[in-house]
Amino acid sequence: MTKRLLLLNTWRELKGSLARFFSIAILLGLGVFVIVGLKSTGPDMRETAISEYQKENLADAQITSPVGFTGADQKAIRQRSSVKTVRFGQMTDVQLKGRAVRVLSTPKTLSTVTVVSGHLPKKQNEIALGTQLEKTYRVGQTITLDGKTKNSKPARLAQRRFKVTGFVKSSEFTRKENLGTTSLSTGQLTTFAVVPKGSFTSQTPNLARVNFKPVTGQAYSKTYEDGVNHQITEIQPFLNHRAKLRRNQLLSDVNQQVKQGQTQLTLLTQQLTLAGQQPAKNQQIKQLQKGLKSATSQRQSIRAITYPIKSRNDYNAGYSAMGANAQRVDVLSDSFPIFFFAVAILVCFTTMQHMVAEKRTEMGTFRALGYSKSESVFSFLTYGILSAVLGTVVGAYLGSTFLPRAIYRAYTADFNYGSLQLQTHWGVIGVAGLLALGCILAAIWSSAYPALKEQAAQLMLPKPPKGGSRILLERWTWFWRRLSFSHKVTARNLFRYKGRMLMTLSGVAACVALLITAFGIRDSLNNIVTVQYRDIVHYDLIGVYNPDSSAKDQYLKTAQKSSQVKRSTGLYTETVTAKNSTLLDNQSISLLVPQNEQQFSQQLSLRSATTHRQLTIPQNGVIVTQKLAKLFNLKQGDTFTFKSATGHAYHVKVAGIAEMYMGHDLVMGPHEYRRIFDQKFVPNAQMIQLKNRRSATINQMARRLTRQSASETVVESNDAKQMIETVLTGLNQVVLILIVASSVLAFVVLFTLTYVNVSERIRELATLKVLGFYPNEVDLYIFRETIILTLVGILIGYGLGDWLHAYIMTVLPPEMAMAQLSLHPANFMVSTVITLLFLVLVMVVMAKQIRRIDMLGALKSVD
Amino acid sequence: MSDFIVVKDLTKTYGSGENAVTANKDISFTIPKGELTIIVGESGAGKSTLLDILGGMDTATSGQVVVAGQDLSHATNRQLTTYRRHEIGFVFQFYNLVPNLTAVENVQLASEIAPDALDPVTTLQNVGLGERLNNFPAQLSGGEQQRVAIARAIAKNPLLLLCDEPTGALDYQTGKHVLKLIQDFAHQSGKNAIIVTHNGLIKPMADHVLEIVDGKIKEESFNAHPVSVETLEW
Repeated sequence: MTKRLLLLNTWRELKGSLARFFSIAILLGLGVFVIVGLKSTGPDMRETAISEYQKENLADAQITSPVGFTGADQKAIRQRSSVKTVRFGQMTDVQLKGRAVRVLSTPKTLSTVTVVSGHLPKKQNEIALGTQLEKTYRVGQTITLDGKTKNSKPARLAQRRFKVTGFVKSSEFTRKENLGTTSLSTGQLTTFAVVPKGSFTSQTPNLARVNFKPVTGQAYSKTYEDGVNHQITEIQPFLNHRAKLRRNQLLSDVNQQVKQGQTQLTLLTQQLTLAGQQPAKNQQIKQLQKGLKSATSQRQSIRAITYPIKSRNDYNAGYSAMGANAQRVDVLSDSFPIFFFAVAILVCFTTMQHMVAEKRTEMGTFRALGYSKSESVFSFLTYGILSAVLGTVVGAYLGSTFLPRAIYRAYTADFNYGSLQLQTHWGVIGVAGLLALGCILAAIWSSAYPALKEQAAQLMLPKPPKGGSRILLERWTWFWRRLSFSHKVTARNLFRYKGRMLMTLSGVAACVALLITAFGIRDSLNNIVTVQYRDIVHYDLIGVYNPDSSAKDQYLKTAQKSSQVKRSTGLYTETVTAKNSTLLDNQSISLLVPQNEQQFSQQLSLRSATTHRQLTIPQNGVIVTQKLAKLFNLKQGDTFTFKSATGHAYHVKVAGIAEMYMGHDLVMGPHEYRRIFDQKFVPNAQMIQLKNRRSATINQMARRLTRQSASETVVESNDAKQMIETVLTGLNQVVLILIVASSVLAFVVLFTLTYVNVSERIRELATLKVLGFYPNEVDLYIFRETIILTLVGILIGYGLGDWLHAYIMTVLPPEMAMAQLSLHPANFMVSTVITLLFLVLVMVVMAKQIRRIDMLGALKSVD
Repeated sequence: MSDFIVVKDLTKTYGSGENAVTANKDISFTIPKGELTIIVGESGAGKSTLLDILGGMDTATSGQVVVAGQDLSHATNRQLTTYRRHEIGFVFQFYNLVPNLTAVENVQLASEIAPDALDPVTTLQNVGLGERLNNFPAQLSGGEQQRVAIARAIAKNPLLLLCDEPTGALDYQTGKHVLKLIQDFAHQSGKNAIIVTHNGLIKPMADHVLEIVDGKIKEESFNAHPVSVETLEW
């Protein structure tokens, strides 16, 4: 019976104050939603990726060899104690209607492919294409592959015509575009394909997929990534040794041939001198001489042979991009939602406290009737717990489903991963739920406990209204006297409820800060692209060629003299790497050694990161780009250590730090190059700026270059642009959600605090009505306070937003990118307008509420 | 002497249908200018409802109410507010002071909006609170608070002072003091005051007494010579 009545009382209470009940539930729900959502998304994304890696048994590392692995190589790798599994396969890059495609021998155990439609190729002339081309080709169609140039035979393949048997996907190629670099076409792979082993001419494999024995942990975890990196560092010298053996063997073969050739040549020359002119012999001599010349260049390329080993992060563009994306969300989840949650909790706390204070007499009545203390607070407890549970359950549900899905969808627009594997992260939900519940209980306890200690009789009397007091401002008589009466009243009232004043200020400030941050994140990221490609990078592509090639001159002619070329500059470039203990992945750095500094500066502006003044390339020392300096904590004069592709470490002195927002560069002069590498400076690339900078023109130029036989690869400067734009699309979606959530928070915070303010002062407002205040005067009497608090809150929010934005923009960009920390005035304006709009909305709603106040009821009753 | 208040066939019903409660039924009376009127009755008799309607805080269901030439029965909300603002001073059983304003500021709250307001400080001095101008309500006794409330009502310089059980929460002596202030207001300024009370013993202080039972006027009487509050005993 008792319980029934108590429940009935609670139910009535709830029905009578639905607005407040839902305010609390929405506040807690929003807080839980944002925190659970952002905390779940990163792990969910990784889990989804990991399950695909496990399903297809993605290899820990790949070793490649330009000349293939000999039987002895294979045996030696297999016998390494750290190698758990190694599978050898074939690969070659081809062109399909101008698109670069990597053709692999169908992998059987490591990095297997999943058939999406059709079946795997069985016959030598069958092929299965990656799903990237699913829309372009169909099963059963016959395709013709090209090599380096149109109508040339692809390297290593026995034939050019293949029948498409199906479409496959592979966790080695998870991106939809730019699957990796290649020497063909535009320098980026469009897709991959698998063919039976027999389709390759040579049976010497040139690709080894490796799983390591001692490596534990899930993909993307520190244990795993560090483990693999460690194994790679361990095994690299061994591979260098194998490569050296191979080089020596190949060299001695060539030397043998050269020796034979030379002997033959001497013989022929002698014969010729003896026998006089013989056209046939002349021909033979010419051929021999040509052979000898090509042997010399062969020797050059043999010397360049290495067996590089790459971890997933380095051989698999999708793997590292997915990891980086998930990490972005993780980073965001460590700052934004915590701020958010704190505001929600704070405001709930005030509301709940107020509710209990309002129900003081009711508590007294219960106590007087002989109900126990716990029974007296039963209705608040039930009310509070109900709203907390409702908020947490809805917030956690949407946070575990809607938010991760929305973010994942945005992020994986460019990926081929399957649908998101949603998981319930009970830890986060538990903590958020407990915090929400704890906030409610603490509010009830802090408000009800002191009251319950009083005698029931006292409790039933109205709590003496909070006494007025003078405020500090009144001491400043000059100012105080100039205030109108109503402004004095407002000033006094502002300081009357200090708790609520602070709460409103911090609530509004936090919401404004969140809005500014959310808008700022979007703008700062967009700004990366603008500044990078307007002020810093002016070249469109870098064409890398083989300086030893006999077709070098032809290549240079194309790179410098083509009609589309505006300017072209020679330089030496190579990709080097660096890593320190705090970084998960190797940082890939472009080493740039310009031939002519003057020309180079027209292609790439080296501006001081701090003063924006033009930097000159020093005689000694190097210039590193800003983000690299930041990651490795480099200052001018520090020593920086990087590794070449073969794992050899070099130490250089930092002479300057240059502004750069995307990617890492390390620039040095030819003199320094000779000193550091102990090698002659030979340019191997052309940095090219085109007259027409549309991406179609750039692609066309890239294809022209890769068709050259001297071509190694091309790098388009907008590859990086496309990458950041992918990241941006993802983040924009996240930010949009954050903006909406922050807006709702701002509204609910303003509404709740105004609601509390109004309901706590109903008697006062009724008095004003009786005295004959017109409705708008009554409204203003209370709204003046809200307006002032909101305005001051907005100003505080500016400062707070500036700080939060700077913090997030320092940690948010991927390791290879950097954002400008400055905020646009528009960020402040839009955030202000949104907040003011909510203020007006709240005032309209509350004005109705105030109009409904029954002045007689309020004035004639005791409480 | 023209009639300051004319009430004709006033009926006030709350709710509708079976739940309808009639608070005032077919009440008619007139009050001349400059009178102190007491409306007396048991609780629930409908006297407060009558006062609220006279004060423009509530409207009649039927009948006519004219105060100072203004027909309240057909007034809009806005007109009623203006009427309260310019013509009416209210005093309640619970003083309803704004806790965050000092005594003088509470009076200013009213004087600020009335067109012919009296000086707040003088008004407070007249109710004997010249020394407590800058005290907050929490620092004043019940009687002092009620005097501030009366000062607040008077400071508007209203044509009609309406008092709903003004002594209900006060002790005997303090109550007397408060009633004296009201009586003085009516008799010295020549304006009207109406006191609603359940205490029949104070009837002799009024010029005009209306007794209400079950929403109807049971008896109406006039005192040609009202006694001063000091001499009353109850």
